[in-house]
Amino acid sequence: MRLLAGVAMAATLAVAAATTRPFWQAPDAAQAQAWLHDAADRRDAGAEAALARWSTRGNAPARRAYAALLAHRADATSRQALQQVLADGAAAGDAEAATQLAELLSGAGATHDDARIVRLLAQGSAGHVPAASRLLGLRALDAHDLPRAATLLAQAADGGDAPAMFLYANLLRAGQGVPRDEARALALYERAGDADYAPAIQALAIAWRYGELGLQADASQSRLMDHEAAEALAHAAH
Amino acid sequence: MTTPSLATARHRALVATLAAAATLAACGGDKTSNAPAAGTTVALAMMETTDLHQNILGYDYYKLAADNSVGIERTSTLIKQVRAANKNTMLFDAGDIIQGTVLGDYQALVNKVPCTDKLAIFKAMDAIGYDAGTIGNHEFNYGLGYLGQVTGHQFNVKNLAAPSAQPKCTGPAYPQVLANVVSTTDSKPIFDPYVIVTKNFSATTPDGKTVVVPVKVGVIGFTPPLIMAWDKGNLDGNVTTAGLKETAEKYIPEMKAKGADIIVAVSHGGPDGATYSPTMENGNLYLAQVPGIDVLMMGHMHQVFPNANSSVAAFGIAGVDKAKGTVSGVPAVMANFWGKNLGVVNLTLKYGANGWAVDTSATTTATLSTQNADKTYVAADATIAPLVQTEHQGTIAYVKTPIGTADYRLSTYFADVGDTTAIQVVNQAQAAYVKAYVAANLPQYQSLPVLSVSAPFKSGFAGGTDYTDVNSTDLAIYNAADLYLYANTIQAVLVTGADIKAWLETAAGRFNKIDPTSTAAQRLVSSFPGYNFDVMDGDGSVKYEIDVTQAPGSRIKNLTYNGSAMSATAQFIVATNNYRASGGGSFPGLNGSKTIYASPDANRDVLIAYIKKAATLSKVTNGSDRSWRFTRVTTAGPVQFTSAPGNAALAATDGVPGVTQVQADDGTGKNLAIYQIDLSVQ
Repeated sequence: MRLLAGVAMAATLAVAAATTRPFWQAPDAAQAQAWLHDAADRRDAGAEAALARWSTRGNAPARRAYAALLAHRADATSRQALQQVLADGAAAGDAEAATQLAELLSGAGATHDDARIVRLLAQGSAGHVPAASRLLGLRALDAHDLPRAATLLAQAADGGDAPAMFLYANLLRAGQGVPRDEARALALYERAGDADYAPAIQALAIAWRYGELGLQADASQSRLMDHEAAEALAHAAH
Repeated sequence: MTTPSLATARHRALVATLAAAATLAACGGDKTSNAPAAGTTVALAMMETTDLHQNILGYDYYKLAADNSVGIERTSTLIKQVRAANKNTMLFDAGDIIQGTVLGDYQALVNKVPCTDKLAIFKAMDAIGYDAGTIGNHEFNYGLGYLGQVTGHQFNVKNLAAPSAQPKCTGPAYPQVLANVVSTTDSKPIFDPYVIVTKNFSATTPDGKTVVVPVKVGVIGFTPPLIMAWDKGNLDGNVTTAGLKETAEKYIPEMKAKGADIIVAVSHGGPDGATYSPTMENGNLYLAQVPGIDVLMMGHMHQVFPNANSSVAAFGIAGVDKAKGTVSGVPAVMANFWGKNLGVVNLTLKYGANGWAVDTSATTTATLSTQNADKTYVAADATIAPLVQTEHQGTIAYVKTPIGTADYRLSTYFADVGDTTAIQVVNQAQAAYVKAYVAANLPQYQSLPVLSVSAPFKSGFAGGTDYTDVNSTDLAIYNAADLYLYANTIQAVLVTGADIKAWLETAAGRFNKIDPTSTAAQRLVSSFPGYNFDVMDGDGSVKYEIDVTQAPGSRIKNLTYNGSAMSATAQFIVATNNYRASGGGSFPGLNGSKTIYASPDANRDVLIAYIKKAATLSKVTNGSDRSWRFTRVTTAGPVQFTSAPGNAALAATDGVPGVTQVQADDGTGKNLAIYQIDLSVQ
């Protein structure tokens, strides 16, 4: 029961009856939130209310679980609630929430407050959220600030962001904003390809076909990579 | 349900062993034992194929040419070698069998294999002889009805007739097992979750005698739970998936209770160090932790395991020994894909007080390649090809089936100098597709023009035969593959006129800077790849010049849209492919952020659909728009480029003036000629 510290016990226990898993038996708070999220995702109103309540009270795992729940809904009320939850998270220093809010505010239909978006991405990047560094890197690319773009994309790539690996590899092979390094570019394409990122696999397919990046031209290997890319694209489409 | 005790299970196993041994003795087999003496050992090679994807013969149906790097006909040779070298062997397949080549599509969608016939790949696999196999995620691509038919199953699922009303079709002879896909109708696995195969192995007693002993090998199968997302349309509401770990924890004790001496998990997936989830794609790290699993046969990732030099991140995580070939301490293999490799786990089984157990100290893993050290390939097993000749020839006939006609030759021999005969129709297809999507789904962009870019993917890199050349009145499916080489998907990006100019400037990097005052011969084409030489088209609405006398970045001249200078701030939608839109080729501004539509459809398929709909392509409509040309300039010396020999007249026919062949052989030995272009008449 230690995980319930700081949370209104009565309200929570009331919710427990509505959920299908005994969340109080969860090994830790995050798992408990995940179970509640599952319940809420099945339209268990009690579980969703508990998540919202915990989120409002500053429980970070609950806030993330609630945001993930809201993010799957397209109605205006949910979008507004999501924006508020993420704003609360960002204000509480949650770099992931700041990044998600920046992405939400950048999306189609959103009223763009570019300065705010940049502040949020900076918060996310400082908090080592790879997507935030990538998005700032894209802005640097658009501004033709290639050294800054390379730095940010490298950060994002180091954090495991596959699109950033691909974009940073592109800079490395072209020597844009960073010394040319084809071997490193190849390694990054392969790493992004391992993560099923189709453009990276396509870059490898081309490299095998034309003998680029230190590879010996091999049409058969190119064909195999092309097949891999098709599969990755099919997966990404779902 | 009460799970029998281990002792009971062992007793049953022993009884079975004795019974089997007695049967062998009665049949006059090799010298047998009534009960193995303690310390008796069995050396056993367990082999694995995976991700065959209907690659039976070494053949590329899009090129209509041999490709010796793939095909189970060569894996079969490796299998025979292993069988010749080992007294005791077993063979398993880890799934993704029925889909992945044109042959797969042909049998599933074009000329559907009859209920009474066996799928071509299963003919080959049965001839080779498998002990068991599992079901990969791609097995679900054609739907449960087709999967049931070709595997000889009558699934009890909602979207099919009752099993009793379904015909019993011909499936493979070997048992197929899959434990973690369950029907929503009866909550039972749609395949047998496991099988226990009794094998009679040659064994060595402690005193060196050779005896034959029966060993019960339990085989359980798994597929990635993500099939529910990947094939939602086929599976949603009909089946559910369970996590690998939970499923194994349920069935392994049951298998042991039924007498399995050793257990092989054949799991269409790899390892992943992320926290375990019942829906994770590659759950084998955790699967292998379930007590009782002796061997793990993996797949799905299309990788080779073990491989000490592998850079695959999943093979570098804690719990995976990529050199030794273990996952969570369990010997494991992954045999690449398309029949390129054969996985082999060499086990030693030792009989002791608790029955058979794997002697882990004497276990090794490896993968064998069909490619020899000198880059040649092992010979194909000649017994395989005759089995599938009908299907093979049928597939070839299918890819040759006309999808339309053309009254002109579509080629890229002179794409570097302005010929768009092989590019315009691709751009037309892409633009039409995106226009239709925008009209139906993106009302906010409906007023914007839709343009398109595509590149000459085949532009002579490998020599005179490395060009697109569709020189036939009838256009067939394999021609579409010649016109669009890669498995890209369509994407639409929202850009400005300035972005387009920058895009075309980058593409114009294809050319060297030409000095008009130089009297020496100058090479026109630089090392900039042809696949990045994007040509923009808009059904005649876009025109531009490339001034090769200028430095890169300052070459695009007179860029117009509908006859007027293209505004730098005007917005356009450009149809392209996912690679370019995501940042491939490092085109300025293209980094994934400008995509307004990422289609799941392949550019090649969109092209095929366009040709089918058009029925007839005419040069006037589909192959004569010179959207770009070189800025006219008189040069003191010749400007030269290479292409396949003997085609100068074709350049003139295709509307590119001033092209002459000056040397039939450029001296590279690649069947390329040197041509000269007069830039003053462009």
